[in-house]
Amino acid sequence: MTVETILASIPEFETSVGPRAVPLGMTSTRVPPRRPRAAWAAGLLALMAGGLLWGASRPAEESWQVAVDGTTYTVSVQGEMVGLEFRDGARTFVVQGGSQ
Amino acid sequence: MLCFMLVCLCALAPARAQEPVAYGPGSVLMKFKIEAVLGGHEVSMAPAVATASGKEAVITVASDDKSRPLRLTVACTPVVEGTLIHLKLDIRIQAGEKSMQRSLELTTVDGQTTRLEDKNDEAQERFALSVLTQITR
Repeated sequence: MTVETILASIPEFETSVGPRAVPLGMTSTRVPPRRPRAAWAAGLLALMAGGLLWGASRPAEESWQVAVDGTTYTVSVQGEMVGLEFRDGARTFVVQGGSQ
Repeated sequence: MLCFMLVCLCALAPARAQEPVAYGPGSVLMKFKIEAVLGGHEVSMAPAVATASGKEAVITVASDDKSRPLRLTVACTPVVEGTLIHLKLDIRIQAGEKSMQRSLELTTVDGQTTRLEDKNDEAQERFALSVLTQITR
């Protein structure tokens, strides 16, 4: 008796190729999907870490406004400003800053 | 995964706190004086800014004047190499419809002032720049 013959004699192996037959009378239980809490937490932490990395790599920038004779000037600085003297026609202003 | 994220956060927090300030020892202090006449209008700006070697510093002054909006931007990146300071500059001035841009690279030494000037009488344009570079200690 060959192996093929033995296998063919077992009914379960006849349906081994293709979809498995479920014997009548058996009920299948649906497994509920895994709660995505862990995925949410991981995503949130990844966002926080990304934000922190972005903030660390980005140079600090600050800005402020100076009003002179009805005109508002916006000064923005990336780096550390020690001071600024500015003149636009007759309008002038001086900004002191930094650690010097 | 969560543990990995927490470890990353814990590692980053002190790294950010230990980030050196721009105006610390070894950084470059640049004292500019920029004078420009653009379309007959005179503008001057004298910012002093410090940044670390290899890092860009940008100063922008913009007005909300509707009739003639003004915008001046000075972007500078110093790179210290021994006693030399390589300075990359980009200066943009916009006054109303007129605009001016100067992009240049120069090499200077600690404590030296570099001056540049150019003018175009026909267009009523003049540009003058002086910059003192100092390595902070």
